[in-house]
Amino acid sequence: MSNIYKNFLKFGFFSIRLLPHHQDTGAFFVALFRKIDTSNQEELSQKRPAEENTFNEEGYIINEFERKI
Amino acid sequence: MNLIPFLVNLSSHESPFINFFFHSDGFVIANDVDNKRCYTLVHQVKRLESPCFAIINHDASNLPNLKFKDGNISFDRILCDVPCSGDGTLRKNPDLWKKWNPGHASSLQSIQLRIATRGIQLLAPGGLMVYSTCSMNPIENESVVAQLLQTFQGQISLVNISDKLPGLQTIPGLNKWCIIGKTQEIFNSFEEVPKTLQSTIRPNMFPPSNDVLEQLHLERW
Repeated sequence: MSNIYKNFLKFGFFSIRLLPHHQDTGAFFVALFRKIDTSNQEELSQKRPAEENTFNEEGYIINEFERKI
Repeated sequence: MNLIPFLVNLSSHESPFINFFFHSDGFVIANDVDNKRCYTLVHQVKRLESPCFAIINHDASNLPNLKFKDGNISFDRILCDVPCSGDGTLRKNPDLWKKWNPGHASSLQSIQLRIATRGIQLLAPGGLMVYSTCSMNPIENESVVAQLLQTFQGQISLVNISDKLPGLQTIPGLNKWCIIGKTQEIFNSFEEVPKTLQSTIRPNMFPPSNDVLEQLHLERW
């Protein structure tokens, strides 16, 4: 089996589909992602500040939450 | 305090999650863009009297960074249940038989992609995000997964869940699919799509090419 073919299988096989006629349900698709904990995070944190400026965070529910804790 | 923020994105399935965090330091945030559904959720959750649950009413694709103490909150677990064409609910949803057409998926894919992208941005390193739909259309499912893997190349990986729930009968996701236009014409690649339809049917809706898959280094997972 060539490498590409193996990769191909992986891409589809890691997510699941639930079909209605199997267990008398609706149909669903589910995929699970894990964020890799690597040095790549540096690139990501460089992007973060720009995002922050786009939003006004004042008055969000989380502030209420903070006080309760 | 060790916080386990957990972002959920739908209105009727939160109770198990909230109960889970009742006696821990973690908390659950539920978000729904629909105001009425948020109110329904308030009523449902009120009886739990949970100290670790918050509801926000916002467009998930533009969810702002939430502050806690000095830093932004990043979530350890995210359940990203995106709006979808809902063709998986055809059996219990008679209205859909009249409304549904193959074009729905094409118009929803971009919002699904934006919500899932924001979800991954908000995810803590090592955190997990579930992407789920109640649709059988690969445009809303595998094509979104493929696009996310390309956008966040090297930052995220798919976790194999096919064997996580023994007894649950499932089939694997698709590796190859074709796309059906509004008038039932079938396209196998973007080159076959006529110019007039190229604004609705986008290249990223087709299965990733072998070259792209090779670049993703899936063998490292």
